[in-house]
Amino acid sequence: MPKPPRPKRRPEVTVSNEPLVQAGGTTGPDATGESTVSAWRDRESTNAPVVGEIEPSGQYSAGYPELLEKFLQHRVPFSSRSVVIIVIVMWFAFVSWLFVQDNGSGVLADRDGLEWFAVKAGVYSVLLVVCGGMIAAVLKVIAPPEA
Amino acid sequence: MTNESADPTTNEHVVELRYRPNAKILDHRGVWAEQISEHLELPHWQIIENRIDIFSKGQTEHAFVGFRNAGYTAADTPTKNFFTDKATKLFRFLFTLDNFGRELFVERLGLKSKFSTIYEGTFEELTARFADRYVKLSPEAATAIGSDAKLVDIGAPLNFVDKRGNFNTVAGPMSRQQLPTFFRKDEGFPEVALYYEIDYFIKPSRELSGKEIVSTITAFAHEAWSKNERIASLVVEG
Repeated sequence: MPKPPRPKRRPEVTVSNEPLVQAGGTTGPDATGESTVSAWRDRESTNAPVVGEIEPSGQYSAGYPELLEKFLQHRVPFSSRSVVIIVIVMWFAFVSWLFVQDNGSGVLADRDGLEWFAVKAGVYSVLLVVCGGMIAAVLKVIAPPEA
Repeated sequence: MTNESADPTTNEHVVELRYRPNAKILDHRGVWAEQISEHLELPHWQIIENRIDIFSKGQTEHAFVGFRNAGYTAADTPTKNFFTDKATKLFRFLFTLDNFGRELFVERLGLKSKFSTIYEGTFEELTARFADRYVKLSPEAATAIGSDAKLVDIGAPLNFVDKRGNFNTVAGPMSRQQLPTFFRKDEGFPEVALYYEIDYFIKPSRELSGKEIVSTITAFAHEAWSKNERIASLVVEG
């Protein structure tokens, strides 16, 4: 099996006019010396610190989107399942309110009124599903990649 | 070094639990270092700014507890259950400690096992067996590469998912000169060996109880060992 270079735990920055010694293989001027296997192995890995090794501290957010994501992760106490349940309950409450409003104003007295109510509730439901689908698609696209 | 003087088993295991940062751990470093050392019967400990390390002489066993991750490593475990028993012992103990938490918001739970299985033949023979029994080039691929090309080395990073979680694997024939790259020790390796590494992990991003964490670690460890046994049997034996 091709021998990959040892994975580095912290990036090293050196400036020198000494020739760069590559770990192996043909490389260009911008190459870091990492092999394909090393990139595969380090992409998502279970690791343990070396005894006494001080690990680098976490990075600050690079910009507003990352800051917002951190805020939502740490401040919003609800899981995605809870949010879905709350949305469904709110949808039921809204349709119920709509029913009460229409019934109070006499719209539901005949068949035509009931059909119109059903159309309204259906339109609002479709809108909710479409919006939910779009949000889910966006979240999936912007989610960090799994290994 | 000949195979007679090589260690009969070479393996390393690490379990790492990453969780939402818990600053209270920093308040208990001293007390916990002694308690964990006594509980796991690991005589040495070291405290650095955001983590405690508890380890055996020679660091063949090492437990660590920090403000955002905790875990356990072991090298050259003699049996299938050794690592599982020690790792679950650590985590069961941690969940009894005040301020560690009865449930943790787990970002990642992973277990990586590495194995080296002695092969009594030559490196070329093992390469051929590996290419024939584990990762086989199709005739079309062999033609595309060139009928006059000879395979001299092979490695296979393959990633999978099953009911337990994701698992990333790396496998391939290894010579004695290459093996120290993958293990912490520098000697005791055979001339030729089959290297197999498997990293099982989940990224739940939700609260997990101690019981769930312990059962997941147990499942990962047992399955990693079993997979290595089956693959070593497939490639090396028979």
